[in-house]
Amino acid sequence: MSTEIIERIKKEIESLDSAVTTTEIGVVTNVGDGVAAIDGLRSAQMMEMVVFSADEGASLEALLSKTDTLYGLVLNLEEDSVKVVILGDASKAYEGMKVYRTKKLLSIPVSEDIIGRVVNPLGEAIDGKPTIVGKKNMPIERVAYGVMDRSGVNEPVHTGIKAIDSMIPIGRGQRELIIGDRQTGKTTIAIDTIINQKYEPKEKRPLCIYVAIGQKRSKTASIMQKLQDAGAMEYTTIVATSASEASPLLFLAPFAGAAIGEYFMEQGKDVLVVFDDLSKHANAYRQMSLLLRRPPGREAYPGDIFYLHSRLLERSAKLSKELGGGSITALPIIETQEGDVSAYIPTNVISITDGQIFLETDLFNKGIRPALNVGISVSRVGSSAQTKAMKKVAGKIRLELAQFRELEAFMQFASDLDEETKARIESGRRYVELLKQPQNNPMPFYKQVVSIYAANAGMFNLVPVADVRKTEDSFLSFIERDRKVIFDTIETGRELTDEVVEKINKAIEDFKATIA
Amino acid sequence: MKTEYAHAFLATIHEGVSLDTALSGLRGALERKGHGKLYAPVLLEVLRTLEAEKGTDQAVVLVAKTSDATSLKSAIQAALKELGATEATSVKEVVDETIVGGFVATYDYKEHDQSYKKSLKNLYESIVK
Repeated sequence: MSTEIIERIKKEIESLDSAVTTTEIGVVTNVGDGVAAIDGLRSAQMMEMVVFSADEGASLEALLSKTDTLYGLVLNLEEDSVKVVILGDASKAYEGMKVYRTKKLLSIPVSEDIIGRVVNPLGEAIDGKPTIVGKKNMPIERVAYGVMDRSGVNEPVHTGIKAIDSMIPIGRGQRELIIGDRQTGKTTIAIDTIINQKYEPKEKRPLCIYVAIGQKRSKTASIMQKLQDAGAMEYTTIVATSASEASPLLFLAPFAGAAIGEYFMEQGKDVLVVFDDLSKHANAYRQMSLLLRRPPGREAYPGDIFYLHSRLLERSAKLSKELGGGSITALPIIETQEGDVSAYIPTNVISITDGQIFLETDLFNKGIRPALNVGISVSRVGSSAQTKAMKKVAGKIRLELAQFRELEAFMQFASDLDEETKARIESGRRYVELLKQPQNNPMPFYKQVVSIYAANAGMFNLVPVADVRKTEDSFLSFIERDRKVIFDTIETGRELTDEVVEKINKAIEDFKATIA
Repeated sequence: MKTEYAHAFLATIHEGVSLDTALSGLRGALERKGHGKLYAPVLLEVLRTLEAEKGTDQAVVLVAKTSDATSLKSAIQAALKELGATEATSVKEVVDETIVGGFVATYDYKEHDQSYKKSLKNLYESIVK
């Protein structure tokens, strides 16, 4: 019987179309710090994935039961060898180990299943849920879309933060930098923006990708929990790398986020990608470059650090109608040291992006949260994407706050000031108070419009500064309860028509009567 | 820097300079430039390069048992020819039972795997996937 089986298996093997071909191989000559020098692999390409073979000397049984494969990424092509960064447990690589080419540039499998999941930069699920089956392999590195493939930014991304949506509007396809010292609320702004997308109509709602670069695992877990609690995980993907992981994985994380985004953008969908943060990304790239013996430049960063961030952020785009009209909006985050925005990486990223949101420690400590410095924050393309309703009310708030900032210095001499100046200062203080918002509590844009309109109409001048937010809440609840049609009209029409204005004015009068 | 010194040393030997002269020349040059401590690392690098050159010039054939080398001789020779080995190339035969049957020929960073192990692995993967 067993002879029969053996003969049958032999025949099966012979009948296999095993097409034995010559394979190019490499041999590890040196390995350390997650980088392997390899002899051979003469035709290897830059950014090609290679496989470290653990087959040698292993029995067939052991080979078949093996589930993990050790991959490497070719990053240096030298005269007589290649240098490869090891994507995984580098301790498994040893001198003399055989390495095979995959002839594939590094790519990650993407499909709709990736939405709502937490993955690593190689697209593997790390949330304990079933494996993600990819539909398409998206290249990690690719050339960004050209000028003719793009269209102008003309649709807003609402962050749910009054100060941003009114004065520093962000458009779909824009790259808006969030910059500030540690503990100033940078991540909170990004997370609030993701949460706020749940107020968007489902068909227009951007898919969100949060890329955690070298963050503490506890922080990533808490962000995931917040998103889950807010019901935002159903349209969000998290690409997570922790501080304890090898620098090549940290380096790949934002590119993986961009690759996932491109998959959906090419289907005509809108995507919002948060890179948290590019300072840590620059540090990881510096570490990797130094290990690859690339020459260091300013602050020991390699010479191509600007190119690295520009080719990443250039991938966010608003595609033309012919290409489906999808978009990727990027919100990169940069952490500054002691508010120094003139350091190497901050200046680089400021010059690449289409605007920046500055957060300041002083404002944060004063209780102004989000701690946004509206004076130096800017959005270069977003205003053309602002809804007509918001545009109509935002003009005055910007002017009022600018005047308030100029007069702020005189506030301590309040008794010597004339009535008009006093009134301006009081009005400014109320605007500042109105723009404060608790974290993870974004406000839909139609509520923002009504709230700011009421402030412009002087409704909050009747109450003490400390009561502005309480009054705002009561007013919005009053409208929600008794005049919901106002919210509905602004939400659908996105305009502030004379009819709506009349209704809001009437509502303000009625509300004043209730609090009088 | 040691790589540059090693390359220069090898070039000197390939030009026909005697080994003793080349070694004393290398030591003298290193001492003059204050790089005396690099002598041992440079020699190790030279050794590594020479061993690598020797390794690539030698074909390695893995077989499951000694008798396979004889029974599969014609297939092995054809494979070595395909890999670019000539009759002058020295062939090292290694017995590796884990390949089950067939042979694996390696020469000049190229591999021709005609082992049962690989065929069975491919069969397994085609069934599982």
